[in-house]
Amino acid sequence: MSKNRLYIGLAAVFILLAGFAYIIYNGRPVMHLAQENLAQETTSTATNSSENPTEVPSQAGEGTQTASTSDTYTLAQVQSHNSQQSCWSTIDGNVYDLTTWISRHPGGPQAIIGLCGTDGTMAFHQQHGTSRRQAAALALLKIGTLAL
Amino acid sequence: MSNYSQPLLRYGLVLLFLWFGYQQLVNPSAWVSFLPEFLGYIPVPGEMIVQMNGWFEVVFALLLALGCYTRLIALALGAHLLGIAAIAGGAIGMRDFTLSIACFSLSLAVPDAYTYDSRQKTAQPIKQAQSSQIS
Repeated sequence: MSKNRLYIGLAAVFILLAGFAYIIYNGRPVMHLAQENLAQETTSTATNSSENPTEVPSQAGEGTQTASTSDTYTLAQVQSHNSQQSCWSTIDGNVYDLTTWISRHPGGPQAIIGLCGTDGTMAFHQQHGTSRRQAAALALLKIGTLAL
Repeated sequence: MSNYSQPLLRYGLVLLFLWFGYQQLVNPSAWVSFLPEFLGYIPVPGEMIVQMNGWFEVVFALLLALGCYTRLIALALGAHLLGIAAIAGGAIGMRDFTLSIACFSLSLAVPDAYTYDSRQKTAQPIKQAQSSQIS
């Protein structure tokens, strides 16, 4: 085997592994959450009015009108994401974006579709108990916490 | 004309893997639905898996285009396609199965004259002859 051929092979392996490392680094959930937080902060800054939204009194029958922070969502916001195109659920006080998980759920998509826009705490624990594997997979989908 | 059949097959496969690899890199969300269910047990985002698969296909396609380790690369890509065919099934699986057969065919053949492998093989006897003349 010539040395040049060996060097090319080693360079290809290095490039392959470097690409994997770059994809993993950029695709980690913390990075996505940080980017989404930054995008939300930018949007809220651009559309901020003179009135402070948190001071608007909530009226009976209209639900809460307090604005959420960058990673805190109200139940009304979770309920508005109730389709396969945008599927949110709240489990144990945390909010998760399950949209990309619908087609990858080992138990089939229907189990996830049924959680869209709802509190999935009971269903999740009934099905998975305290399994660490499912909890680890769920943690990757977390986008924030539920506002009380 | 027969001298061009193998390069034609090789560059056709290069285009195939380059295109699909690039598509998976730039738009991974469109390919997540093709992932098999057993990958759901791995706590890795589906889009990340798709992008890594796309990068693998791009790098190996470039190596195949260069013609370095041609037979090994063709064998690896054929096995890769065979796995995808087994998982996909149906019409897509049949198409990928036939493409994997094309890759295996390339891996069984001697690298054509346009590959880096064949140029290295022809260069080595020349160097050996020159070194023997000098000695």
